[in-house]
Amino acid sequence: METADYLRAVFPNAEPMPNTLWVTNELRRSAEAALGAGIASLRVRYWQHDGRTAWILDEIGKEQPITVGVVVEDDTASMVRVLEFRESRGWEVRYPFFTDQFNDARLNAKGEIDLQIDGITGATLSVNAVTRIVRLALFLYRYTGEASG
Amino acid sequence: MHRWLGVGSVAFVVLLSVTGIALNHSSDLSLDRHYVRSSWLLAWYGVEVPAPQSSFTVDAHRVSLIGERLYYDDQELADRVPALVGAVSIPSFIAVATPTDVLLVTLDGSLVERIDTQIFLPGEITAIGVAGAVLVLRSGDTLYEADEKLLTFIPCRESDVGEILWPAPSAIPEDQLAILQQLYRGRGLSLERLVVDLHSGRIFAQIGPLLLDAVGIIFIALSVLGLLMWLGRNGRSRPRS
Repeated sequence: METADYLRAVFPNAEPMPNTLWVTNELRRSAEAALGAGIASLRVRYWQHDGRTAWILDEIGKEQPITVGVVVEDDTASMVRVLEFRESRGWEVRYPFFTDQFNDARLNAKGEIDLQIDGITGATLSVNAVTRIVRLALFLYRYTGEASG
Repeated sequence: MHRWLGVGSVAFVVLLSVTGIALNHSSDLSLDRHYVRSSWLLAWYGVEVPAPQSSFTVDAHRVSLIGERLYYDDQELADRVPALVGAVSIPSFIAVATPTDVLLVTLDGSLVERIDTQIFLPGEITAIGVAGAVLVLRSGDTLYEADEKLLTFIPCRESDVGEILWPAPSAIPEDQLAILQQLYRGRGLSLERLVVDLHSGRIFAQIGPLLLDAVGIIFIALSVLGLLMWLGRNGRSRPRS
């Protein structure tokens, strides 16, 4: 699925506003402390409309990045979609039987997904990458909410 | 015979054991993220450096594409870049265009964002330019200007933005090219690939796996001979009634 198509599906009746979050040292440290994972770029782009946000994030699976779209609203994830998968193995994560598991996912106090996510045999690295992206999207959503008061 | 087979296979036992253990812990050792630098090994594998595809000078810096790897001066900036359309200087950043992305880079070479322009443009980027402080893209017959925050690209006319400077590519100086070629070769062969090939024998092309098959048969022979010798000794050591 193309990014533009994903955004149209997320915001079917609206023109979402693009926005960016600058990855300051403080944010980077907070993300590493909360998630145990860093943020690669200096700026993260997201789209928002009426409290609903869409995040398009990359994470390395085994060797190549996987591009995933995540909707976050009210601190809850939904519509997790693999937009681009570049590895030769682990492609099963693209299918709804896997990504739908993240619907209604939230972060618990430890920074982990509060739902049981079943893995896929032979696709552990891809599963972990998608899970990290969902966690990061939830974390960044919370950070923007905090940043804007 | 058992003794000579055993002595002869010591090197293979050690090789297979070490490479096997390494592969079992490949992720922990990050073997796929470390690369071979040995020139003769790279030559053995036929790792070749493609000719530079294009290069642009931007202020005191140079952006170059070799293969699908994009370099900012002598740092690798990004990979999976099919083509380098151009690079320009805008306030506080360098903007580098591929057919589908604009990479925003700080002056010290840190990647700010890789912007997927296919959200905004119906086609591929064919040129990147700058009009004063405004970033301009060309896609087909249409011009697009970036907003002040570099968040979106909207159609525009040349009369709206003023004179646009479109950069032209330039050749990479020989000394810089040698450095980039060395960098490129340095990421051509991962340690994981090397260890796998050593373990399977494929490092020696087609004869390697056959050699390892023969070694496997020798190991089987050693095991069987050893068992027979042990049984024979046990049989002789029992007192005869």
